[in-house]
Amino acid sequence: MKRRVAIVGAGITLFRRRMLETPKELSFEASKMALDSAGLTLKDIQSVVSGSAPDAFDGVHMKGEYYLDGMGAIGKPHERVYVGGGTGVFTPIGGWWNVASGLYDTCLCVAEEKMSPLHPHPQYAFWSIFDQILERPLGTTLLWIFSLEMRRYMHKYGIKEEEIAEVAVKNKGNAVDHPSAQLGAKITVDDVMRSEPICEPVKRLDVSPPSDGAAAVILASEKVAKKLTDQPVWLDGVGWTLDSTHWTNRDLAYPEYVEKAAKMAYKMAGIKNPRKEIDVAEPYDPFDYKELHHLEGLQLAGKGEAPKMTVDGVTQRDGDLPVCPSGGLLGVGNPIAAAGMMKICEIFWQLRGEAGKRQVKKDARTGLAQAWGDLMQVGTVAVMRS
Amino acid sequence: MPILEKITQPLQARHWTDSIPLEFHYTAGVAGESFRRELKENGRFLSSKCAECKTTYIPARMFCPSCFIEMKETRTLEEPGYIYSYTTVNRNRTGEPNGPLTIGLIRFEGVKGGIVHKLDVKEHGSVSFGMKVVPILKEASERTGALTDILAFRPA
Repeated sequence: MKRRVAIVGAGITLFRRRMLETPKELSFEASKMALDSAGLTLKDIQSVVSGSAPDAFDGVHMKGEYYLDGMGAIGKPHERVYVGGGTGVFTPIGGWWNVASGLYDTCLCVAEEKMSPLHPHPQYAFWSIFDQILERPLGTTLLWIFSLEMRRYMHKYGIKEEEIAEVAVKNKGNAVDHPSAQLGAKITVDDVMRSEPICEPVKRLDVSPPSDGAAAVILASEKVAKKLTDQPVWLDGVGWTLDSTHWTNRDLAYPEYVEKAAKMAYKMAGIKNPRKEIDVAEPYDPFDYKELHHLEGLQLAGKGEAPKMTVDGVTQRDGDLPVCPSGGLLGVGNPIAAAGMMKICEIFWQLRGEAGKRQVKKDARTGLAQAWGDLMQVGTVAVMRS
Repeated sequence: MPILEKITQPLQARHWTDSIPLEFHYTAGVAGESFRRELKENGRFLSSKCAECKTTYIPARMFCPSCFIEMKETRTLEEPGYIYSYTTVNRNRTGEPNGPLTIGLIRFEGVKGGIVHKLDVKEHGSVSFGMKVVPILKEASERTGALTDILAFRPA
C-alpha cells in the first residue's frame, strides 16, 4: 500500500554558463534554501536522493559520492539516480519511492550539474553515446538527431519554423522574471529566424545553453507534511519509461516514450482528461520544437496541434494552459539534471501561488513537470496537486 | 564462439581504436579560492570554523557538512602539522618503478581533515607517528595557489 507524498520545500541556485561554486557548493546552496523554505534542518531529513547527468560534465568520477556532502547526505541513506536529461524529474521520483514505500518520512532530493569544466564544449561528453559501428565513425553529434527530428516533425504536420520559434520567444521572455535565469530576453520570431543556422533547421536561438546550477525539493509523508505546512503540494502521479538506444527505429515525429510515462503518471493520479485537468505544465524544452513535441506526447495537445496552440497564445502565462511559465531551459538555462528539477520547483511555486511575477493567471490546482533525455529515449513525468 | 578462441594477446582480437578527447577546466569554488589565495600569497593553510559545532576544517570550506550551515569564520594554521600515517611508494601510477618516495597524511591538532604530501626525509625509518612537520614552500613569486606550491613537508 503506497503512501501519499508531498513536496514541502524547494530551492534553486543561479543558472550560469560558469559558476565559481564547486558541485558540492552548488548542491549546498540549493539544499539549504529548500530546507529553510520548509522550516527544517538537516536533522529532520531521513534520506537523500540525488540526480546528475554524466560524470564527464563536472569532471569527477563517482560524482554522486563526491557531491553528497553538499546534500547533507554523509551518514544517511543516499542514492543517485540517472536517466540522462530525464534525471531532473527522475530525482523526485526516486525520492517518491523512498517516502511512498513507507521507508522514510522525509527525503531531500537534489539535482546538480556543472557543465562548464568540460572543454572545449560539454557536447564532447556525448561522443561516446552513439553506436560504435553505425554512427561514431561519422562524427555524429546530438544536434544531428535533433535536427532530423525537428524536420521530420515539421514535415509530417506541415509546421513552419516561424511557429516553432514562438516557443523560444515565449520562454526566453518568461525567463526575464526568473531570478535564476541565464538567458531571459525579450526577442522576436524574426530574431530566432535570423540567428545562426547551426544544424538546419536548428538555429542558435532554438537551443538552450550549457549551464552550471543546482535545484532541490523536500518530500514528506502525508502525516509529516500536514504538520509542516498548510500548503503541501502532493506528488500524486509519477511515470517513467525508456525506449531503445536504436533511435533510428523511432517515429521521430512523436515521442511515444513520453506518452507511456505520462499515461503511467495520469493513471496513478486519477487523471482522465489531461488537457482539461492539467492547469499548468513544464514540459522539457532544451529545443523549442521539443516543448511542442512533448505537449503532444503528454496528451496536452493533439498530434501536430501544439504549434497552433502556441501561436494562439494558449500556452502564455495568461492562457488556458500556461506552458513553461518559468522560462524553461531556453530561458532559465540547462544545467541538465538541475533543469528538470527547476521545473518541479516551478510547479511547486505555481501551485502555492508563490511564483511572484511568473504566477500564471488561472487558479492552478494541478500541474505537471516532464523531462526527457538519454539518447532521446526516456520520458519522466510528475503530476502535482495543491 | 569467442569463448573458445585461443587469443592470448589482446591485440590479436579484431578491434579498432577511437578516443574521446576530454579536458577539464575546474573552478576552485568559493572556499577553495580563499584557500588557494592564502597559500599563494602567504604560504599558509586556511581553515574554516563552524559557529555551531565549533569544528575547524582544513581546507577551508563553504559549509559545515554536519550542521549544514555556512561557515564564515576562517583562520590560518600557525602550528606545525603532525604525521598521522605514512608510506613508501616504489612505483608510479602507470606502474613504472620510481622512488622510493615517502608520503604522509599530515594533520593539525584540533583540526578536522588533513593534507597528503611528500615527506622530505632521508629514509623511511626516520618518520614516526606524531612527528611534527612543516611545509617547504616554493618562492612566493613562483607560487600559483596549487598544492604543488609545497615541495614537501620536513621535520619541524
